[in-house]
Amino acid sequence: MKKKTKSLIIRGAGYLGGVVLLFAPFALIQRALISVFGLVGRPDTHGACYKMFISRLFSATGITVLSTSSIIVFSILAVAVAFGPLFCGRLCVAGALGEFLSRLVPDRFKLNWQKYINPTPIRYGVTAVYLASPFLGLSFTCAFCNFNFMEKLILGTTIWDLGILGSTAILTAFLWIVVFGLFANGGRGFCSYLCPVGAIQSILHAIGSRLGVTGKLKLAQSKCISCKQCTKECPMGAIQIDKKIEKEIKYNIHNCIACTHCVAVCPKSAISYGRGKAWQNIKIIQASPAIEAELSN
Amino acid sequence: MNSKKGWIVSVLVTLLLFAAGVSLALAASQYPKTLTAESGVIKVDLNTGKPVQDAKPIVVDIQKQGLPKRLFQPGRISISTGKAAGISNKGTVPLNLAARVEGLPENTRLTSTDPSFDSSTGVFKKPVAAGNAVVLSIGLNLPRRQISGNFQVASGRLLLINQDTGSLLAEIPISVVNSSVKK
Repeated sequence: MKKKTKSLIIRGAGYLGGVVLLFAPFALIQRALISVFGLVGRPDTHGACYKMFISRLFSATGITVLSTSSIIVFSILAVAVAFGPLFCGRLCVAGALGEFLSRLVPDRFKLNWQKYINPTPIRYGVTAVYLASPFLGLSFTCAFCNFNFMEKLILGTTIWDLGILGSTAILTAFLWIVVFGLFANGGRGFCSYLCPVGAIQSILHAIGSRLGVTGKLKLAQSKCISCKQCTKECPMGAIQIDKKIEKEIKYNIHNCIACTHCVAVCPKSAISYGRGKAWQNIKIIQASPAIEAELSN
Repeated sequence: MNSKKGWIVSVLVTLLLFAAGVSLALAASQYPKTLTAESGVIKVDLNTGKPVQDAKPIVVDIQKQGLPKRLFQPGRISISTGKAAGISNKGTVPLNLAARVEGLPENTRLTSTDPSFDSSTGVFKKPVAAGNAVVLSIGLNLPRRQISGNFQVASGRLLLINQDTGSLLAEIPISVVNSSVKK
């Protein structure tokens, strides 16, 4: 079996695992935290929500630090420091839905958003508002939550009914699944531009990657043949060819979800995931004539 | 010099894009405020001393729904107490409460996030303690042909009943209209 196919299958299994672990009607992690440890929280995606954690922290009944949402949120963030955004790359079915659906659509119908508009500053701008919104009383966090809609999709498959949707939920689904999913390169435009959960993990990963002991993507420059498979296959567009003067293969750690799909598709195993020195951008000095011709267009 | 100029441009573009992200999120957070008319709100105080509590009629206008809702799901309407519990027991004794709808389509559903609520009977199995409140939602599913052809799309009422005595505690008129259709 091709390494690429194997990577997709393994990742797909992980995302299905994420459904069982974090989304109703299963939400095994939340249920375990409630029944075994007696924590406060809901046995659904709200029980893993940052905004719920903040709201509960300052609830009228007093400060509640330990809840399902606080445990899950802090666990995800701790993993992000040590290993990268593994929640995004291995468990989050909401992001994976867009990615896997986009693989059904021919490339000529898809836009490569990340190539033309740097997602990182937009993503962090959205995240800044997200972090502040519980304190400012903004409804941004809930109104445009694709995790909530994902849970409706999961529950809806059992009774063939999505339930009653508001305009913001419908708009969110359209942007997440259609505009930034089906018809976007990689299918993870919503993750790249609008998801604060991934953005927070990316900041922590960018900081954590400076330590030698943390997990991160690495590039062995001597092995790279500039075949561009990693740039084509990266669902987040985190690896791009810079066609300007430098002609570099650039890696944007702030947009990487550590899915390691690039590791799987690299024909020379130049890309790896592990501890040590982080990816250094390289100049394309060994490009084949075919690749040079494509770069000059 | 060129590289310094390029760096400055890069920083400016980054700051602009960050500002664009902030602006987008702030603008998006205002959009839900324009959509409050998409659903109806139930708010009633019970056991205030009146034999049957007056409550403000609930009117939902299909035409005031947001465009995505009107295109995709105009007939699926929620009337609820919202995130804050809206049916309050203002009395001094616990209240065994039941809810029923009349006049609305048969497929109308009564639900509650309160685990003691039985959707099939409309009964809160656990009494509502004095000073406490409960959450209740009414889900309507109206066909498009009914919405597009009539000003008065549906009407009925929500009845809140004392389970112990069978007496009516509150009667809330509910009306779904389409103001784009002339009366």
